[in-house]
Amino acid sequence: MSDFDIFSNLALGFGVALSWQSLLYCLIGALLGTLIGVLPGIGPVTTIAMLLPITFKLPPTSALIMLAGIYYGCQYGGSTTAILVNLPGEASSIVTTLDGHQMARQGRAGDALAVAALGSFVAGCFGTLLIAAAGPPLAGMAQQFGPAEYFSLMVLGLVASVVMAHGSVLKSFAMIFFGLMLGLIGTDVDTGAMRYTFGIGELSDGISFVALAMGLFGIAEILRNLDGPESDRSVLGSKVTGLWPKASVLREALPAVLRGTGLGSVLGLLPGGGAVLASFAAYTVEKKLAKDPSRFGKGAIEGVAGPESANNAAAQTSFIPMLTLGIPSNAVMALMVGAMIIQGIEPGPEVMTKRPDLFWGMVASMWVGNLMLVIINLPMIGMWVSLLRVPYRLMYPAIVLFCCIGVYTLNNSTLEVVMAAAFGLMGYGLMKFGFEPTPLLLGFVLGPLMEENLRRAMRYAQGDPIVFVERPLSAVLLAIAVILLIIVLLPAIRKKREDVFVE
Amino acid sequence: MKMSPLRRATCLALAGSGAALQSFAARAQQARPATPAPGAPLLDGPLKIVVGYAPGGASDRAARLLAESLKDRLGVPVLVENKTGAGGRLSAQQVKAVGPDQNVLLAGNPAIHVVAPLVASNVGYDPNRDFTPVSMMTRYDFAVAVGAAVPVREFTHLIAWLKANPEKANFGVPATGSLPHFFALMIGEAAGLKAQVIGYRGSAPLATDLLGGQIPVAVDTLDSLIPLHEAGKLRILAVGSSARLPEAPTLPTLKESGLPLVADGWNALFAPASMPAAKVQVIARAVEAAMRDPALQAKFRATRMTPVAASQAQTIKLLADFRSKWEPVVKSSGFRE
Repeated sequence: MSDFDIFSNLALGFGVALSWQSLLYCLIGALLGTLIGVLPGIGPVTTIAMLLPITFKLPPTSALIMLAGIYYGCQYGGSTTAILVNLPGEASSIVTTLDGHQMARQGRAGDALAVAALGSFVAGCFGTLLIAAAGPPLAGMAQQFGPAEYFSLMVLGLVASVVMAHGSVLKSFAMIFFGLMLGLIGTDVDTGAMRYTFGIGELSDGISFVALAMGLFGIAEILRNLDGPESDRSVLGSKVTGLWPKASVLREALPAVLRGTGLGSVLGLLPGGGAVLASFAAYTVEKKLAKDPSRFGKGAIEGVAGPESANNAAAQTSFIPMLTLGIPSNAVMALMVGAMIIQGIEPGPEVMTKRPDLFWGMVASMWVGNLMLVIINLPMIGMWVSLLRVPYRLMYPAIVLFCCIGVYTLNNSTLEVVMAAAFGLMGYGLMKFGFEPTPLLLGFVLGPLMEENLRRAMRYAQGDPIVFVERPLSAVLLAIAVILLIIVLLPAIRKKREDVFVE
Repeated sequence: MKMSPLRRATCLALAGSGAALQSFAARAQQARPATPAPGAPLLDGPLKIVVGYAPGGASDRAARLLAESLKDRLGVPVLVENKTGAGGRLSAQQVKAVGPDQNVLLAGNPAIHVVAPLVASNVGYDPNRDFTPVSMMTRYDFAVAVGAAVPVREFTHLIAWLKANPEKANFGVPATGSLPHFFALMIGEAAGLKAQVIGYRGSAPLATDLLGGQIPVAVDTLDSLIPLHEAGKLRILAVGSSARLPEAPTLPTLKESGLPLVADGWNALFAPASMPAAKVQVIARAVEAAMRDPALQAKFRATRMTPVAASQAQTIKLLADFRSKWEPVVKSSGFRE
């Protein structure tokens, strides 16, 4: 594709995206996305599922622009609750809680929110540009990623999650394995056998991620707060300093933003766990590159900038398989494919040629939407931060309420609300004994993907495990995992791992 | 897995399966005058259709398109609710439990009504005792496709190629225990292949692996494969219908390619057993009339669904035929959860 084509295509796209109608729906989508991202528990899947029937009445381009806006808007909003109240609404914002919430506790919520918004904007712009410039070839590249490569990537992801933890290595491993075990619950993808479901229908699809995350993070955090003296609870509101980051903070964050954007753009192409891995990978990279890794987990700005940029870049590039091939890479994209079909547009490689207005209009609107989001979000930082001054007795019941609504709306299941409560108690217990919930959640998310791809790769290779080192990409990923593991374990073995003493 | 009973079931029972549904689909094309919208509501309250899958999927699209038309015919609001989970079984459990005073229907399919009760020890409902068939909505076809890199252009060549390269005889299916899974087993049996059937979590990851050359062959529903076929990203070698399809006349059937296998699937509406028979009849007549409406049919076809118009009695017959054909196949496959 020549440069001229990109420009004329983008011109066509902006012609569509800048019409008042497109702008309106883009704004509605971005606002709605921010809102549901901020509300704990209610994610883009639920929202888009609920709104889908309404979009049947809209023109297709407007409908898709709005739905896309909800999705990436949610990535912006999701960081807000993660930072302010330590509550990740989506798997991709789990890591943001690590340093983002610590920053908020130190009164630097404004810094964290602004860097998250600006980082997301940079990442969103880059991701959009990537879709426009190289969508189809990138989709082809992502397909070269077979089951063996996926398995090795998941292994790397799990090893990386040990790096992220700042407590005892042994406890991190324990949590990862516990997460893997929770991930085993549900239907065996190969044989269809039920595992640990005890005849409960809801469990046949596995434990709900939202119920687990809301329990381990949201409810457990509230229990922990209730446990402490009352003076601790209002700590958040009292120490808030500047709302706007100083230039030095931005300078510190910029390299992390760029690295996160790059990692996120690549990993976002991979269906399934791509977007989740992106934020985890970005955090690991930042922690490993930092001169003083001990700052991580205690409010390091790079720990917010990297993962937030990564998850937003991944959110953008995860559109590539859907837009160029009609193959959805996650649940949100699957809903959007459904929306296209209902609109009479057959998702597939021919959308680009048959409906260039729709394709390029959507791509251009994503850039417009990202700009809108940063304009919406920056002035709102003050408002979000002042939310922390809301008295504890009002805010936390509200959070619990939203968590319950969010968990319930996902599958209209009361059992999942009960499960969230149980995980809350469990999370509280884990916290008391110094176990971190993040490796658990990562094990839970990556475990099933890892198992599925391990078994598939082995079946394709007629049961020969050599396949994991025979395929070059897989071998490289495994090698990185081994090196990373050695780096992590060496200091622990020598009893020099700095954080061990902090415990 | 017992080889010979499956093959027997395959060849005897399935020869000609699906022909009946296909003929109903054809009949639906001959439009009859639609019943005019009545002034007074035909039901005592809103009607709810429960779909066991996410919005935007085939089952959901069928229910929503129909709901739009039923609203005017019945004179009451018609809502669609998605109760996802356990491959649609949770939706069946929910609808089974509603009382006689509620107007609730289930958007059912072979997975919920035929396969699950056979392969699972306890699905929490009895497909025959707990539900009354109301009316057919749509039917759909299955297809066999290969990735662009696979050096075959005809189904018979595929079989020869897989026999020459037995390590490549992997058939990807969108889900373990789905109709395409059993169909893939049957194809492997009938062709004399030692094929592995590999279950994915949906059509999307299966298509990704097929396009990337990770797996050579996929057996899936036609509607999920055909856009990629038309774009030249993969090749559909055969469809499972009894005759060539009007919407895809260039695609040969398996029968033409030497395998006497025919299979298709359906989406139909079911009422809980508690619903009074008179009410079931009212709804069934409205659904049948809606499915005969050319405007609605066109909408179904535009989203690659084949509308089927059938009365309640015809629906019961079609379902019984379908069940008697597939039950031995599923049972003899030895597949259990």
